[in-house]
Amino acid sequence: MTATAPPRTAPALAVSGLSVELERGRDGAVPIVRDVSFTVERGRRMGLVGESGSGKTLTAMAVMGLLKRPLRVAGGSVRLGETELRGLRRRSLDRVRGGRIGMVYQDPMQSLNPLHKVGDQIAESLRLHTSLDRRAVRERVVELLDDVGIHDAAAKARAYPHELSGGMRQRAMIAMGLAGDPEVLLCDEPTTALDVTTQRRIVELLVRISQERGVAMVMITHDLGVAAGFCDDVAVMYAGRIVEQAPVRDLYARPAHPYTEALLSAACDLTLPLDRPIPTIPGQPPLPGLLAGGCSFHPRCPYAQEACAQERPTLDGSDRRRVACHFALASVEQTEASDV
Amino acid sequence: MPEPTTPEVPAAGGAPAGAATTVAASFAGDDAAAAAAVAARGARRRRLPRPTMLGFATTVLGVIVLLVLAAPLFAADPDAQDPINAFAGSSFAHPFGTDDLGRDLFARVLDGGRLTLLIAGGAVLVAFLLGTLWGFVAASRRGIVDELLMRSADALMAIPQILFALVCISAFGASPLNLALVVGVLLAPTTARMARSAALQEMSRDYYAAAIAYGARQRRLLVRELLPNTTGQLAVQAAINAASAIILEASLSFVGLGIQPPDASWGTLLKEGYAFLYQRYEYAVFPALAILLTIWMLNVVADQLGGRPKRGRA
Amino acid sequence: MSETTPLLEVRSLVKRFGGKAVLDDVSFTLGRGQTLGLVGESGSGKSTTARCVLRLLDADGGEIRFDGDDVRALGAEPLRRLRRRMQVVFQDPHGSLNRRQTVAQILQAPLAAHGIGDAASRRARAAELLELVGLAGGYADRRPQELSGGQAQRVAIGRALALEPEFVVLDEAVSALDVSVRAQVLNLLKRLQDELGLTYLFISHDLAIVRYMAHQVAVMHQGRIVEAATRERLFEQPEHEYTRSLMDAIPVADPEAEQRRILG
Repeated sequence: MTATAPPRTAPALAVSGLSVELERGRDGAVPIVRDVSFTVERGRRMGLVGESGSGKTLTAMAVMGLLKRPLRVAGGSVRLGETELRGLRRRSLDRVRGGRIGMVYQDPMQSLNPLHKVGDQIAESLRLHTSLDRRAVRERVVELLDDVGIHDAAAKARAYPHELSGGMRQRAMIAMGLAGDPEVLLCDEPTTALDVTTQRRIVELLVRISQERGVAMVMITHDLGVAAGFCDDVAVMYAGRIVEQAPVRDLYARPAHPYTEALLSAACDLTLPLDRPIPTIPGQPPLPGLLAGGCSFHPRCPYAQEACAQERPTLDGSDRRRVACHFALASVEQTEASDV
Repeated sequence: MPEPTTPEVPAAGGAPAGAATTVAASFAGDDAAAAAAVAARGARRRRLPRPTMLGFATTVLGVIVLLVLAAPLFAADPDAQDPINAFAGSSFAHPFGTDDLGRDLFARVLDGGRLTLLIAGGAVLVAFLLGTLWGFVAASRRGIVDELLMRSADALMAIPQILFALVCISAFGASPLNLALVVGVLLAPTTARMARSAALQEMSRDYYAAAIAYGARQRRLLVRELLPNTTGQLAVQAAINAASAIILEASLSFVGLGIQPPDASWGTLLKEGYAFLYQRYEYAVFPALAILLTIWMLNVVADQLGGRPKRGRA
Repeated sequence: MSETTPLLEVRSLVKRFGGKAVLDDVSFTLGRGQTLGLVGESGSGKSTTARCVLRLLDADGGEIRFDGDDVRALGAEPLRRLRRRMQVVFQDPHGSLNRRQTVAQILQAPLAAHGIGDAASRRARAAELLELVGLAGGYADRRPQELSGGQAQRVAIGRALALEPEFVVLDEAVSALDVSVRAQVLNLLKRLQDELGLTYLFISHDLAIVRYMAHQVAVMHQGRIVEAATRERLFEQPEHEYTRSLMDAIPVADPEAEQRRILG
């Protein structure tokens, strides 16, 4: 990815100013996701990292146009290549979803139909999004399962979801997401329900697919370890907003937002010192609709000053690196080249 | 974050297309839970079909019960005969007309409702007490006790209801109390099955295991843990039972096994009205309408209660 | 209470579900005031082990001794008395709380179950417990569904401590919590252990967390303990291949190291 500058065409996915709100009848609406913008180029992998309630999952739902009342997109744009997805008719949207933009979920057991064979479900997706004939569909199913590292793919295509292990099901799910030969793949906590050893292999698989096929990927995760291995760029979300976005190495080495810093130090890994308490973020993540004025993080922030309570910091910086903090911990203007 | 599945999420994904339908289901993750928490905090949505329907049905039922109970205060004497005015049409004095003996039908329908509702209420109570205990004990004992209790429930359900009632009533007589008991016993097995499955579902939850682990006794487990958490499902069953009880009472009375004249219930009124169907069809129509409306509303209540997602997380 | 005899001794535990052995010859001992980390992937049998120890499940073979008592042989009433001394915290904080009760009722329930104190003293104890788990002020009258995951888990911990047990099973007790909240709860558990001299059976799929919490670690795989050692030993020189593969798989919040591993 280093030398070849991408041609100046539209990025694979460009989200800008996306907002989601919760309708509350006469009481108006509660904003839940606000002004989220990011772009993902072909073959790049972006991470949306945050805790529960941060709005990361709703952002992905909004991108896919899958919000249901009382949730709705309140504004912004979602461009898939040259196509604006917002305001697209239902039928066109159905053609895009599962076709040009695929999706992988946390729990394959909930997203795969238990009554249909795995292969048939992938075939269904192929029939909807390609013009292959019956025979070609059957071949393509086996090919896809083989691609995602399922051994004996022809036999596994005839298995029901419950006959596969958790890791295999997730691979089948990924195969399904790839069936329409998508430009963008959204992965919502794809490894959270899996054991650590399986988790690693699934991340490896996703990275390989993005490199080989040039698929742009967005991974939604709460796990900073997983994001570290997977992403080129990471956007950290808090209380419905992106508070920091940076190339992955910059973000982990020099977090600019106090929340990012706190998250990184609260993460448990094998380097954690044993003789003292784990550094924590005091308090609880805020509920949407109950946000503090100014910066949403200021009640929990060790660096907070008066200005933080009064004025909400805007997400400023360069294209590569942005932060929303009055007292950013690292400069976002000059970052070292840290391409993968 | 492996957030516990929210109740809105269907157990299985929909279309295998992997796009539209499936997506939404599996997406109801953490953010949705947080959003739901906000919604729960006194949020009023613009259209509230469910609560409105439920409110409407309970209001109608409430009005029926109130009219039936308060009838002596405003309606005519249901037993006052006026043969000259027999089979009179609807008028201000007799909104539903009169019967073969000139008795005010409006008053008689309200009066009949009192016995019908009393029997139905008693039957629901009997079915609830018997069925819940039956089901809960079966669920918490498991093994042979469970087998025995559930097979006997099956056996009881296999007996034709009218036949069972016939035997009981010819043995013990057709007093309202006996009718309530018989109908209640007839409804108990289905209630027991429902109570058992609801109990089993709750017993698999961690709060129940935690209660065992802190040393709660059986009685405490049933009364403090199981009962409060199954009231929703038991209420649905009670509404269904009430409807069934009204139908059963009406059927029994219709074939002459229920309330005996001169006492009246909706069933006996229907039976008497049926005899005069060609002289004065309203005689049969109004009790039938009363039965229909009550059962309809009870079914709406059962539907709405059952369709409502359970509070809290699954 | 002699300091030398272990509080919990499990020998050759066997449990079968439908003929299939989910626990096969599981043995371990746990000293007073110590934490044993039981680590393994899903289906390894770690939660089944815990449920057998608590007798929420009946084991099919082997021996479980709690402070000398043969747990498997206890009748209903002695078992109930023993349960004052061993408690449990489950993974799903909301699922483990009765949603029809208030926080105060939940915390008083174990006391009521054992007929300890009167209404007033139970209320006081509930307030004390809330204080202990860091939920002072305003939580007593809430219901579980009005709490966040971290708060609900604190209530579950408070309930587990209501009877002043010596031994607490923590069955994936922090797995469902967010990163920042998880750290708070882990710190709380450590503090409580120090203050109250608790003995923990700490069950987790996450080796990094086990490393932080446990003095002894047992690694479970397919119903067996494949390696057991002190924390220092296990993390410095893991002997079993499975332990090593688990350790290698833990993601590190370090992009350079992670991506080197993933991209090979």
